[in-house]
Amino acid sequence: MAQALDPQEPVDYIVGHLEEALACDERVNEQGLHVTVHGRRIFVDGTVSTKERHAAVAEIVAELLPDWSLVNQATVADFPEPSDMEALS
Amino acid sequence: MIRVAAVGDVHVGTDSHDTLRPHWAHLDDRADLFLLAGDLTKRGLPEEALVLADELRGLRVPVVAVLGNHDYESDREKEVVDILAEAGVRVLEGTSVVIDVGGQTVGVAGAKGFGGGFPGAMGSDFGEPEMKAFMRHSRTVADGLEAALREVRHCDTCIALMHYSPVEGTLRGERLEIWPFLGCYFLAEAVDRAGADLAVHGHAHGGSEKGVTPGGVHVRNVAQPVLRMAYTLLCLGAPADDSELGCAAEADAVQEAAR
Repeated sequence: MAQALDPQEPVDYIVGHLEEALACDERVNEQGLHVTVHGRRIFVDGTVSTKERHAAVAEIVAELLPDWSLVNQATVADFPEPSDMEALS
Repeated sequence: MIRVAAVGDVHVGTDSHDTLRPHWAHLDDRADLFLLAGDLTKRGLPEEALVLADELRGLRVPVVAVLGNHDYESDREKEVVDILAEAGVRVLEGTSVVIDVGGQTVGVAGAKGFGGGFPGAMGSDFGEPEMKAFMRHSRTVADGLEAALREVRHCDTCIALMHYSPVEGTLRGERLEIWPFLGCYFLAEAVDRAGADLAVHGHAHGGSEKGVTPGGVHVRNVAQPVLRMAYTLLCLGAPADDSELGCAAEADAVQEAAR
């Protein structure tokens, strides 16, 4: 379980700690997630590979900042096969 | 002509069973070669490599891969490589492979690559030992890529496969401040010196798909979050007199298969 952050810290540091946790916590391990904070609302954008990791984003944020709310806008990768081919010349 | 399927950054974990396989079902019919551009696993664990091997099971198309930074996280990359090799995947690092596609030879040279940056905004082999180690690793893997490319220059088609980006063009969309962590021009220099028809990479999830080296080699960022597809399909080496027609016919066939 991730250790809770100090909610009184400047927002820049909170964003940094959240992004670091999402990159390093084995439940997610995603460096490509982008965090923004507005008031006590945390927005997470980017792509995760599975729905389990999408759910884990919420778990980790809740552990770090239990009284803040999360808007989890991360996409779960479920991409279709391509419908065309690019010719390189 | 050679039909190349490519994707990077699939980040397979133990929670990935049957997430990729359904989308790779038509690969055998659509491609002559399937390239995996690193970050094959989430944490570089053998159990994750076993899941990827299972996702690839049954494919007849040759699969060639490089590792990415995620695949080194647990210091068990050798086990990951062994498991994938057992499943028939050629995993390259400063090495190459030649594949016969209907009598044409396709050479693929691969290396993970590393960060370091691009002219005007890059690190130097100078100062603290940590900084020197960073830049020297970048130089070492680029030198490995160049040597591997030279091994396959005799092939009809030559492809450079890496995880980190060789050019800035495919990083557009990523924050400028992190470009030195996403790639290094040493890789492009290696590609241009040795020569290639195509360079493929991943890693830059927020970047752009298309770029070109200073020497004019096509670069494609195939990180899955960029493609927003299960893989991309590229058509290489069509005869000069009917290349457009040939690839257009292939594209029609792909669209028909998708339906």
